Amino acid sequence: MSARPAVTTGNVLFSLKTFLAAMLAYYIAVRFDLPRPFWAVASVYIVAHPLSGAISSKSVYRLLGTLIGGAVTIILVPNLVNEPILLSAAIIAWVSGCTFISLLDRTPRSYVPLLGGYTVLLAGLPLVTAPANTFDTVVARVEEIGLAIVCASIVSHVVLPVHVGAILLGRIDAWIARAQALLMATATAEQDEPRSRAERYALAADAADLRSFTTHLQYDGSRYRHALTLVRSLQHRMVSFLPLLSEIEDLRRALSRLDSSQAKQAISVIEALGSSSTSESGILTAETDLPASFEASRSWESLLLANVARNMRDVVEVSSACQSLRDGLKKDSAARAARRIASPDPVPRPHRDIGMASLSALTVAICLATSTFFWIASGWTDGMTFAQISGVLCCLLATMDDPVPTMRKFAEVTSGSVLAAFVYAFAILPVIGDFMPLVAALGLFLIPAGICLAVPSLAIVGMGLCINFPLLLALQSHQNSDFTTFANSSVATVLAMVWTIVVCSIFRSVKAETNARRLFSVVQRRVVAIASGGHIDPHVTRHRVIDMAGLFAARAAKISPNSETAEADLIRDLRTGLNIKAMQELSEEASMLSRLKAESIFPALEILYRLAPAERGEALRDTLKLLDNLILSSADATATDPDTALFVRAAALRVCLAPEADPPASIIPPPKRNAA
Amino acid sequence: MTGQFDLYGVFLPSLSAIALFAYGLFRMMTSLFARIGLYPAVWHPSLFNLALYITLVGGLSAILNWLQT
Repeated sequence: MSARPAVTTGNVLFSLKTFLAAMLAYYIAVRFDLPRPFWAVASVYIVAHPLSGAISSKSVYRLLGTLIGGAVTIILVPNLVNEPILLSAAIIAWVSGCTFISLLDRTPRSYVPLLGGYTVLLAGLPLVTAPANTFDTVVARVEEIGLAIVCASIVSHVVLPVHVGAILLGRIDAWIARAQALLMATATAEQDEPRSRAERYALAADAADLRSFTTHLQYDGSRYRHALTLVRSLQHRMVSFLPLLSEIEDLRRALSRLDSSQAKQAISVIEALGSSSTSESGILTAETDLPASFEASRSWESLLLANVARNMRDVVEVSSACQSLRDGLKKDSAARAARRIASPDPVPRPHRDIGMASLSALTVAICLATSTFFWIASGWTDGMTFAQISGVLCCLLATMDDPVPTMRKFAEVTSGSVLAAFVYAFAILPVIGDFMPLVAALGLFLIPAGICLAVPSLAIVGMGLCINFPLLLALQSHQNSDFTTFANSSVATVLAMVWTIVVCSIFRSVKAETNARRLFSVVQRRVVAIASGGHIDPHVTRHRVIDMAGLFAARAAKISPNSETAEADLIRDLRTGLNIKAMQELSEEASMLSRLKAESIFPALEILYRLAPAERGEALRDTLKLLDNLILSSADATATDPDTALFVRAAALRVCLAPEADPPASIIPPPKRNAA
Repeated sequence: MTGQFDLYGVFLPSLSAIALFAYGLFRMMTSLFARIGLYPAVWHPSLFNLALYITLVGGLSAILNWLQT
């Protein structure tokens, strides 16, 4: 539980607003005589979010998903209702297919296929006993959800709105400030490696989070709504900071090992960059006279210095681009500025984990298959609720590594809301005859529960209370306090949760470490693909690997220290890949001798990155030998310009591969540590 | 307000037709207002928009009623 108090003005206000929207939706639903008005109340609580833009986006996705699911229900149910097994199979295939698609997309947009899937469960399963009502039921569900999201959106936009735009910009500023602080720390002093690596991972995770958060911006009511492209291209630039930061750290370490006057001078220039990172003009002059003064001798040292110069030029370029984009956002005419600085290239699609998505889809299928089988075999009417709830829960929690603890919590909370619904259904609602007293009675429960919804650490409690409560009561609205029905559906709901926990813990739960290792091996394979000369866009690689580093970050804390991925530095691997790519391009133009030497390195790298990190010692030594051979040939005066560029890249690659190794010499010393 | 539109056999309440038409009109007007720079001068743009939309729906249904009588 969080240390901060749950009851703050903002949270209470949010809860009151949500309650207002819910009651507005309920009132309209009752006035228009919709068949299941409590669906509207539950829907308002499902889309509830403190930010008004987020509500609108979730609402649009929810409506779209419901429409898709409704259409599929109308197609499937009447046609297959006489073949229960076939119908179950079709529904299971559809729901798990939708789960699979939704897991590939990690933005809020994934809600559309997810909802398209389980709407069929919620709307379709009750129809198997009365297929003639299919169209009416689907229309009613779409109407109720439509009503709920309209109410939720209007209330959140009109009553004391909290806009996404301002908060997003605040978070972007905080991110940049954090990156600058890391830059400053890296540049001015030697860093403790695991700590700065963790910090870079955290930044990558934040950047990924920001990107999915930006999806809400286009539905926001603030003036930043039109600045979407501007924000996207700003985020695009922000992430290219991370490999640069990692490079500075390694270069600095390599330079301090050299212990010569020039190296000291270069370190002082890096320090100057760190301390003056706010005033760009100062750095520009400082770094431009670096390469000129060291061009004379092409030693390992001068190659390092050339890399320092390139790195600093990039840092300055990225930070000034970020600055100008940020300034563009500040102006009123953000839309016009966006058109002017339109993103040069589209942001590549993030990493997709097909394996995990298939596993989750399979789990949904297994869970649904067993529960529908139970329903058909037992003939229990409320087996339907059992199948519905277990399927929906499986879908909703499919994104987690290990959904079981969350589900257990959810099940506990649901038992609580069953109790509350019981009290309401049999003690309070029967004596209430009017709308206003009903609102007051519901508010007594829903307003405090809604406060939980606003606190991230209690969100699951809030969800369990607010969403289940109206649904459990809703079953009562027709049958006039029939205890058997209530008991049946409550038992089915709780049983469904228990069953989902059982199925998920058998099939679905993976350790954080497993996923971390999977991410790690994807990155390694990508480096192999680059080294073997595959056609891989470096731009796409950069974004995808940083995205994966963000995913890795969420798991890094849970990895045991003696695991092979504990020492993994995905951002360093990314730099290796990018340097290999650059070397391949440069070697096309280089002289024959350098080209041959360079091309002998790539197969060695390919072998190196195919090995597990623990087995790399020998291969790393071989690769470094070949690489040093190339680097040491830079002393020849005959080298041309493309050759020099190649040598510079080779030096950068060597720093990536063996950041702690001694500088190359004619007799190659063994590297001290298997860092890669 | 009680009439229904016959859309190839599907009966739509006239209120929903009015609401849809008003929404189209509303989108046109808001983009026009955004272009002439009205919104920075508005205290609460969302409330303004809501009021505008309700005015449009109300106005349209009043016109329809008046035409029918």
